[in-house]
Amino acid sequence: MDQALLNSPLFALTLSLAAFQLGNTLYRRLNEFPLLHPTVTGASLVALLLPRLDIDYQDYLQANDLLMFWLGPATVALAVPLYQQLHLIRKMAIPMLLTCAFGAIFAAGSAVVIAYSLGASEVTMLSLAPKSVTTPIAIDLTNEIGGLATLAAGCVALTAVSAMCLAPIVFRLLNITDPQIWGFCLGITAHGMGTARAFEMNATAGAFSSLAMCLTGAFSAALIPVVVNLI
Amino acid sequence: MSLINGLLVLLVCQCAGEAIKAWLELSLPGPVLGMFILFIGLMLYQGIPEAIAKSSRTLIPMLGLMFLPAATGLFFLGSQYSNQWPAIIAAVVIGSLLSLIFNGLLMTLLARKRGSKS
Repeated sequence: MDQALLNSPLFALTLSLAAFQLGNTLYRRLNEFPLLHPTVTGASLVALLLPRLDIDYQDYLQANDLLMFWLGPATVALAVPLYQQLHLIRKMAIPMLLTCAFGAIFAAGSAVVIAYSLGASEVTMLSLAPKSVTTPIAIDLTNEIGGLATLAAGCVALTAVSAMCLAPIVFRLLNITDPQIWGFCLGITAHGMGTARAFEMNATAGAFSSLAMCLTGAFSAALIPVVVNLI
Repeated sequence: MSLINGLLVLLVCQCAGEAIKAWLELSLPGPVLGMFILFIGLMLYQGIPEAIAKSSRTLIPMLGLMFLPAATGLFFLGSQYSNQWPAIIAAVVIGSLLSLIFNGLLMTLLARKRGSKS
């Protein structure tokens, strides 16, 4: 096929949508098995195809700008479910703030401790610390504390994918069915992708996840640089 | 038409968010500030105009698709940190698993305490 077409936004978007829908069909067929979420299977499929089509990943990413542009307006749109769930959010304010504060510390702390015990370098640990923070905040944060932004972005995405896939299994084992807790805990750990997953449960889970994502981002941005300076 | 009106409101809020971010030199992303602006707007309006509801219902279910190109990047992270990958993958996967358990148990406990009080 013509390489100019293969590197065009037209082909990139076609590939993204087709891979996602194939992933979606598989996911529905297999009773929505959590580890095979369409974002993950679709991404794996694209990753398999890109080298065969001789497309550089950076070119594919750039050609998808049109799709990723809408992440901004979609984030703004989260205000709607947040407003709709305001009565529930008010009731849960204190449990939410406490869980978020401890959860954000735990997420960064556990990752750094595990990495340290496995002999990771200092730069790796600094790039791991913001792993549960939404990407744009995580990148600023990593630059501030002296980690590597590209590595941090990878850690953030890996965290999101693993938490999004593991959450339904973990919550089933812990017998957590309340969409407020389900969504909020997913949002603390898996930010944007977790929020996308929470909306697939229902609007309440989605709204609580959106809120968790914002709170964790703001809290971590304030706290992590202070802790790093102390150590 | 109402979908376009709704999208227009979202874009205006995002523009305002980006402007405030630049003006106050905040580290929060523009779209997150835009979300706060829209949220305040809805509080003042005391309701959700159908156009905004419609654009929100259109965009939010597509979030999973919008993350696909970034998720694909996981397979192309490169070999420059190759000796670090075992530690990174363990820290992220085990860390996320422990985080989910920790948050889930903590919030269940706090919510139950609160429920029994009221």
